[in-house]
Amino acid sequence: MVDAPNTDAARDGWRATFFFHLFFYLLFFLYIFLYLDPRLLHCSIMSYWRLPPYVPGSGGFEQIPGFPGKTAMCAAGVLLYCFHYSWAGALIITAVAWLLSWGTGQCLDVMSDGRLRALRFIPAIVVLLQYSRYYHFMMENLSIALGLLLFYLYTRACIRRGALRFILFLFFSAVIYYAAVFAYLPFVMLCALYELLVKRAWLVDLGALISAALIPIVVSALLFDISAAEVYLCILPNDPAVLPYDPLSVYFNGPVLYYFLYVFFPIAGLASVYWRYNSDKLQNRFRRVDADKGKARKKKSRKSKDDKIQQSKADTSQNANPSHGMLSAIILLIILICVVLLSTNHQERHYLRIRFYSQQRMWNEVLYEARNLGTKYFNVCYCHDVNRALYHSGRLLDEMFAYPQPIDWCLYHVEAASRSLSAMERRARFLDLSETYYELGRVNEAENFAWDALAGLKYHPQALKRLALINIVKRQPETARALLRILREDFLYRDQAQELLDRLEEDPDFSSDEEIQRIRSLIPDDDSINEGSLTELLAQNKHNRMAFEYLMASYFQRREVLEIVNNIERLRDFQYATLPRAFEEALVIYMQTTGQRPDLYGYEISPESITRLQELINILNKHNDKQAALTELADKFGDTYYFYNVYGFSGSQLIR
Amino acid sequence: MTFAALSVCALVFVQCGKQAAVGASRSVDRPAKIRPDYCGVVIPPNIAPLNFLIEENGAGHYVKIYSKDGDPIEIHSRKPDIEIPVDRWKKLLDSNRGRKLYFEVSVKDRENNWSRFEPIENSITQEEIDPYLAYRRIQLCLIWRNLGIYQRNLENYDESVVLHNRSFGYGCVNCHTFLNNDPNHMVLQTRSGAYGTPMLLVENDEVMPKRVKSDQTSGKVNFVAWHPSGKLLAISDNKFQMLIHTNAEEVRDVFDHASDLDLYRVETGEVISNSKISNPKRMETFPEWSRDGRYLYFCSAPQLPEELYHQVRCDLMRIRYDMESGEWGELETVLTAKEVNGSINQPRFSPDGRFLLFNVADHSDFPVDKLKSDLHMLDLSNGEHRRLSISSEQNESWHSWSSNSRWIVFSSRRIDGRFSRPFISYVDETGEAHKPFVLPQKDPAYYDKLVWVLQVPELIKSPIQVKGSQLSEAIVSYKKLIPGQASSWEPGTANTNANAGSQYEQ
Repeated sequence: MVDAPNTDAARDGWRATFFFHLFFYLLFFLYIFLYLDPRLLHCSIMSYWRLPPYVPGSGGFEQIPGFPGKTAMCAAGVLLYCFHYSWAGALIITAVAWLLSWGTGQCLDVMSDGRLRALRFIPAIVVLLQYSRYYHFMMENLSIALGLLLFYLYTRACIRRGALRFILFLFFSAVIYYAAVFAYLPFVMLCALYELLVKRAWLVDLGALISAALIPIVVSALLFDISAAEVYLCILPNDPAVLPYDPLSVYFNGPVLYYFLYVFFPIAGLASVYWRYNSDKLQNRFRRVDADKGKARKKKSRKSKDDKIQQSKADTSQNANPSHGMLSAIILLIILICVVLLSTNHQERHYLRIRFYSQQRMWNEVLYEARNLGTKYFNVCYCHDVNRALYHSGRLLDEMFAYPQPIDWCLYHVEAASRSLSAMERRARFLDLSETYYELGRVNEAENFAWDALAGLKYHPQALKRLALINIVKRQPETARALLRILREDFLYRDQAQELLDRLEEDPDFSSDEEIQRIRSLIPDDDSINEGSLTELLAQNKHNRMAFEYLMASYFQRREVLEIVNNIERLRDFQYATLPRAFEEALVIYMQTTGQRPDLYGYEISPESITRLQELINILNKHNDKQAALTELADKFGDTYYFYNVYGFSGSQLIR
Repeated sequence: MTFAALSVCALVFVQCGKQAAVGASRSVDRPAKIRPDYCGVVIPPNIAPLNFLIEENGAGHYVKIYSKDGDPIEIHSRKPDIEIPVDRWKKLLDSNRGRKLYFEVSVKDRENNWSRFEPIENSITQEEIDPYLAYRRIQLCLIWRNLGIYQRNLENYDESVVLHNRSFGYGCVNCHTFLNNDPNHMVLQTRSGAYGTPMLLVENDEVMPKRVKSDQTSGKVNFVAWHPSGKLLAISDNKFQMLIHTNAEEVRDVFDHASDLDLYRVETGEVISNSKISNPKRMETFPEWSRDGRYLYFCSAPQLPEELYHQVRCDLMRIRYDMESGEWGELETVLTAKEVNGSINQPRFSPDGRFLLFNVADHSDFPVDKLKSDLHMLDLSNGEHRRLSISSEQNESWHSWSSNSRWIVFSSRRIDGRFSRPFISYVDETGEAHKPFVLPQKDPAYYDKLVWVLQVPELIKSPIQVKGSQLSEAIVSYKKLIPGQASSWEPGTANTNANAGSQYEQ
């Protein structure tokens, strides 16, 4: 019986703990929701599925043959798909972190009699680490959470007879192997440690270890059709090489975080038992000294195991006194802040925001994020997004050299340039390529890439929608309907699909839709199996503005100034009020190098452009060496075509 | 007790009301619109129930399925989905072989007025269809991230995986081919970056990975035909390349840079080549043995440069081959491309040897990616050929016969112009094919939600017994068997570069 003051202290401690937990997870949630933004993870996940994705309708998860851990994989697939809503994603991540933390706390209570409880926050912090690096180990986290839950039930089953506990162990291990195989070994090891060191049931322990080797065979034979090698290989963590490349992280990299949770629980279990026995020994030594002082003390030295637990719980509640608790909370918060500060991958965040805003067609936001992205992330895909954003915001021919522009990259033939990317990254770009080709009017190539996106990413609702629109443009309403019916099964896209279906019903030709009509007008008349060029697209429709600007941009990139001069007249077709800046600078270069003044078709070159070139030449002459002048010129003229024309790359690359 | 009695009374009252209401319905002088199209079709007596959706607006639906004998099946449903109980359906069909089967549909509007449509009339044949169908499930693309060979029990809706590419590094698996519709003798082609390109030979419970490599062959088998004796395989080795049209209804086209035939002796693993069937100036593909095993039929066209892809038109040819002596006869042209006004592909003999079913596309030796391709039948008893009237305005391909020569199954895009679905058609003794019906599914809206295509449907007499794990273990063991056979291409993607070989698969 605990006396009244102790009860009050325990109640106060419990309250303090509760409010601290609430505060901790609220901060956790807000950080994920407001800063990390799970929508970015959703965007990344949709491009780099390594799990069976959520696939609506027929042919979803059930089409994949059963294998150990499929349940956790499918659950993770659905939960990750919900990251489409930032709040839902943050809630899911917080809930999983809490579940892991709670499970760890229960595990430590059993193994160490309530000591080392502070360790329970480690899994939550690791989860935060994962997501602050923009990794998504949802399947692994869910598996471990289930493992901890079953371990908790196992230890709280109040079964004294070893044989019955062994049967329960068999059942739970089979469940874990079937549903969440990632947690199989940690679960078995925790149970073995528990039986060996806490319950001291050698026979049960031995039986558990032997049966742990047999359970995979039995469960696989009964429920799965997998090879003998896979029966055991699936128990081990998968190859983390499938993780997206993280160039900025050494200590917080994917494999470290991936394996951490796998090994944490057995090690924590072992450590807590070791701690428990060490502190018990210490206590016993003090008690032996005290025993000489009186009989009353002797009684206490013969405490039963249950009494020890009571004592330890009392210790724990004493530990929960306000000052001690406050100190723990402060330390924990400091750790949390350190983790956030040290681990958050801000560059990945910028990169994902570019991807996300690009998909949402939020072009100004794309350009804002692009300005803050480091050169390590600069690649052909990034350029594709940036140039598309520049085009859509009407700034391509003015500002393209304010962003890195590789000379050897043809502006929209990304698939050729993207061969340098990994297969995973390439697949992730299929949808972007499809959209660019669609906007250019090359709908067949757009369709081809959309199909590849759909299959390469296993499922992608935007690819389905793109395909439906392409088929509407191509006047193939039956195919569009079929695609939209599939899309209608997706809870995120149901309304959009239904709206398009209704419109198809009313007007199968979409004759009143201006955008569809505009894209139709851009499609080349003649069929060919050769890759269509921008010149051909312009010849088909001289008002294809995107084709024109991309063609000009490619001339700029290749430093073909004469071609630019020859196309001044076309600017009138697109009603440019003034010469775009890059055009102006190219013309100034032309006049400087040839001494001729081309027909400007009523446009004028600003005196500032001429002055700027003169300044650049002066600096070059001052250094008398192109390389020596590089830094100064990049600083002053990095965003100009002048700089690009001299060096073959944008000065903005250096400024970063 | 009182409650039970009242409940029974209420139930009887409701049922009587229902019947009375349906009985007092207004007649509509046309059949109800249903989806899939199960109107006027000929069905085997052992097919799974033809579940369907009623496409008439209504708040309640009633369907009566009946024939001359047996109890009619009555279904009331608020939803337009009509799911027919399997056991009662089986009984009804079994007791009415050779007779008509009627679907009488009534729909209730919001004012509780019933409209009864004219009954939909279908026919039940005497002849059964082979009870299992093996097919490939794949997405429409060049990338194999999720595909497999599946089998389906046609008498119910049970579907199981034969081999999924998840089990061998997301490679490609294609062209499951059976000896005389017998799943105990099967070949499967696989490709994977990790494990190479073994041909899997299944003999009863045994799975053997085979390397089909010689001086003339690349080791990558495409199309296969079993010799009726089961001792010989005719194989094709194609080098396909994908082409993309800039402005055509059909986006993709396939060009074959080289295609030859060879024979493979099952017992010895010997590859037999002959210049008559591997002429570098011509492409030879789609082998098929005559039922007496004396002739090898195949499709052949002059080897043209890529830019003339639209002029590739295959003739149907044959050559005599004596399996015992290994002697070859002379090449004979059976049917020219000109005669059928298109390119002849995928010849398949009926098991009784009387009919040869093939398809005709505008051009190409790869009809799958054509917008349109028709089924044609050659009657070998009189040498006459004709386009089958069941051909739609869309693509039909990958046809196969049932073991009793009375049923054909083929992949057709007729539902929506894009996704291939298996269709079954009855072929009577004169070679007339009757209106086909799509493979029935438990969920009547199944095909509306399916992003995969189901292709290469092959009818088999019993389920495939070998396990997926046996097949995948054989693939994995192939690498150990022949080190260095793993090809350089990346798993899960198709390299469309012609020089890389035939990596775009059917």
